[in-house]
Amino acid sequence: MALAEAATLSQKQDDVDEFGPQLISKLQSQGISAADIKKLEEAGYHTVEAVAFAPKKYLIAIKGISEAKADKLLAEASKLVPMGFTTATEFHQKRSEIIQLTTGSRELDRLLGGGIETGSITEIFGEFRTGKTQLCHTLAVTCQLPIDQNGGEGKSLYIDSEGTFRPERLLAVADRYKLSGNDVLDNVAYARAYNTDHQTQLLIQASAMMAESRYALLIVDSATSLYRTDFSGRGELSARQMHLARFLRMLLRLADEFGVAVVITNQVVAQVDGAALFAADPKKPIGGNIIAHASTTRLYLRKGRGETRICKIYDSPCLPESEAMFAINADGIGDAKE
Amino acid sequence: MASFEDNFVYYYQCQKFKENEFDPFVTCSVKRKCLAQFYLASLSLTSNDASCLLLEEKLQSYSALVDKRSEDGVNNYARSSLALAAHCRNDTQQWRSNLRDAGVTISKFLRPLNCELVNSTSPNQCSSWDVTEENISALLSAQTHNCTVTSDDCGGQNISKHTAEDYACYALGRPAIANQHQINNTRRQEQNDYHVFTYLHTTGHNKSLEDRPEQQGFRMMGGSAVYGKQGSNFSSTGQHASNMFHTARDEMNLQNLKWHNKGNNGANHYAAGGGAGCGYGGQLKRSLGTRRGVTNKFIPPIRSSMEDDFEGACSGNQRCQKWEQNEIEADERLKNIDPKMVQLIQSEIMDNKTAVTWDDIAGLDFAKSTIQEVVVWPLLRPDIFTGLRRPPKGILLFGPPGTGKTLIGKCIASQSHSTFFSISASSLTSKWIGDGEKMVRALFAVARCHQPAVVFIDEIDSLLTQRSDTEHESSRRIKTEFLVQLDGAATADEDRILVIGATNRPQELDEAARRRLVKKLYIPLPEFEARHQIVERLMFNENHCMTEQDVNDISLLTAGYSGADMKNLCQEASLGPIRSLGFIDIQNISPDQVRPVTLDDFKSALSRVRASVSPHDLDSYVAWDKLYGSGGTVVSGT
Repeated sequence: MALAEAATLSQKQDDVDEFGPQLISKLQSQGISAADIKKLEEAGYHTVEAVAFAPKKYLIAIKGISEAKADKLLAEASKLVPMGFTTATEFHQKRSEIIQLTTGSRELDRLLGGGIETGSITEIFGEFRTGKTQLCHTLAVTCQLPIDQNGGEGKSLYIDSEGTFRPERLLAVADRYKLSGNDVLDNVAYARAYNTDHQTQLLIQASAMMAESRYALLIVDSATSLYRTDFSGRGELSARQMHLARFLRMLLRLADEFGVAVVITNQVVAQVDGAALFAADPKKPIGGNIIAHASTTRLYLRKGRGETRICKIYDSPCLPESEAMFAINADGIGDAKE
Repeated sequence: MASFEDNFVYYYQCQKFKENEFDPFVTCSVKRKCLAQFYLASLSLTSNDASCLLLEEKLQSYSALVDKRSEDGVNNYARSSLALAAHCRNDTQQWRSNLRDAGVTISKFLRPLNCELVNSTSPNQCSSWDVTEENISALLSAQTHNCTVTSDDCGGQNISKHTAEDYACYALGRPAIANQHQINNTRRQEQNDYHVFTYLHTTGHNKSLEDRPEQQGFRMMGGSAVYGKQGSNFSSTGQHASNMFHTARDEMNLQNLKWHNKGNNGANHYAAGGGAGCGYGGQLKRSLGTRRGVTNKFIPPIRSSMEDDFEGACSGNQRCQKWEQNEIEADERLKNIDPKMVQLIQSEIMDNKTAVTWDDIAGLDFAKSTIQEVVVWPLLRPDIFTGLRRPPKGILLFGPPGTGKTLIGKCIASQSHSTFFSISASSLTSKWIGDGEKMVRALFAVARCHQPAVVFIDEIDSLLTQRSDTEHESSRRIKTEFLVQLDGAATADEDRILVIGATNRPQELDEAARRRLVKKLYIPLPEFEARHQIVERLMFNENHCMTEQDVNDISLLTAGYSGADMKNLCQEASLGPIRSLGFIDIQNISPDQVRPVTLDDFKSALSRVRASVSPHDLDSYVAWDKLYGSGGTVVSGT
């Protein structure tokens, strides 16, 4: 029985891999030399998509890739990756098949139209103790659930820049979903980011890991806290925003390439200048327009009564601007009790 | 040339001075250095052959010294190896190979032995493979090149290029069999003096025997290089990942270590090393077998449970839903009732019933027979007890305190095979307005689900007192809800729910409740026979020396005592023999030496235990019984 189960499981895995990203070694059959592929891998390009989506400039910047070679690479990669036009029907069909990861709270899922969308960046911002990290912890477990339970059937990757990752919380959530705690923990890859460069570096490694096994979720908690201190003042503002934009671009690339859900958290800043005095809620997410444009869905969390929290859709391409209430329970995010 | 001579003289003198040195290794090395200088000097002065002849004698003495089999001899190979290994950590997991074409380099050295080719058993035919200095140095440099130890904590311990060389030597010397020929290896470990080696080689001294360990050594070295390569393979898959990412489980172990404040050095080191499970100093809980790292495939975290083997793939939530569905189907009648209340009421169902039989109740024959008629028989023959013979829905047990009303309740619980709810006011009232009524409703709904059911309400006067203008609205609503549920428009005749109330104050009951509790049974004070029975029963297990006459006397003397009073009296009397003992005796008397209870004990106890019910109190019960009671009891004061 167990054997058969394992067999079906592995078959399922194979099926999944067929639809997943194409490994860069596939380019070898297209006439790219193994040495070049090695160079690409070292530069953080682990899938054909990564090469296809990369600007030529970046490919040339890789040591040992000449312009002619970059042209050839791009040509071969674009043969494997469809990058042209499709009809809206087709795209709609694709969109309807997109997996959404449950947040644990039915209300919140309803607000989000099913859950956290895979293949795009979801930004969660709010003050401290508004449940950003708790939501991340819950998602790190729910993404491992089977798809029929609104999970992603994939591992999750957790980049922590604030040192707030607590595996016990994952265990609590795992208990709630009756999952094996050890397996859940093994399926979460965790890294602590120590500075902005390191944080970016981690993404390169993340792409390598995602090429190797199925990931459903990438969490960066929080994406901007290191930028707040690594770059200070107006003098470094431009550098900071450029760096942040590159980071977000890489996230978007990962979301595109591997179809993972990217969840980033963001901090807020209080507006203290005169005009804001009249605003009811003088808190704004940091990162400015860069992060505002980069994230697909923006969620604003604020504290409700007791353990309840309120989530508001701040920006979304399709969701209406409305609110939902959820609660932070001992076993992760859940519905608020009356 | 002159320097050779100088050196020679110097070493020769050293040798002479240190010949009595305790440490054989020092002696050996001095001798060896001496030999080397001698050889070089002789080479420079005379021809090769001549120098060989000159050296032969000295070499023989040297080899005798070296081959001496004793525990503190040079032949004891372990010490030098340990000394070598002491200052370097063999962190093989952290070896990273930069060697791209390791296979090519190593295959050069992995030539098959000649003897293997010839397939001969004689070791003499095993002609040597020319190991040249270039070969060794090439291999050494390859090792130096390849084995860059990435671990940081090795850096502080002077492990650099030299260390790599040591590793190489270590690899060479690894076949730690007590083989005398491996002395050559040891020698080379201590000092890379290849001249002596080559000399030995060219002279063919012990030639065939010399060769094997060499080759063995090189094969080992090849092996180690291959090992390094495997290591590199292992690391290249996780090269990027294992550096920075680790699994949440590792993170939890780490955090636990930090919090419990033990092995924090190990934790730090572990964090710095970053690899999976390579923290040396840490008090990590080690596990055998492979641990899954970040690079592993996704494993569905489905909990494997024993009972659900057949639906292993079925996930937890689905199971939950199924279970919920069953629950809902079972309790269709409870769907409009708060599940929490249902749960509360269900917790009032008595499961662990104390075994009380009808025989445990002394006297009260009428009450017992009535209850058996109402409770037990309808259960046995539900087909007979229909229509007019339908058992009543309520029984009221009233009487002075301590006469066994609650005991009857316990007896019903254990004897009737029905669901027994033991309800008190606390289980129905709530701090929220309106919840009390709902609780009553829930109680009857749950009881309906668990038919046949007995709802026993002790001290029913607390719930169903006379309704008055002064009482609080909420308690009144509980009362009315109770009355409605007990016998209202919604109750069906087929319901087999029996409500038994017990009270000391029947006169305070609401008249509507009085009507619904059809059978009103007076539980009087025990009569003479009953008291006799009680005393006999209670004293049955005690050591006593009372005749039938004594018990009769006691029963006569205890007129007006309730059952509870009788029990108190017997307890008091049984303490009499103990009281007669001195304080000292109590400490060391054995239980069977205590004197039996006598009539005198009872008589003295009678002065201590008085009846708790006065005859005056009884009048009100008798009057009420006459007015409303179901009769049948012979009221007697005696």
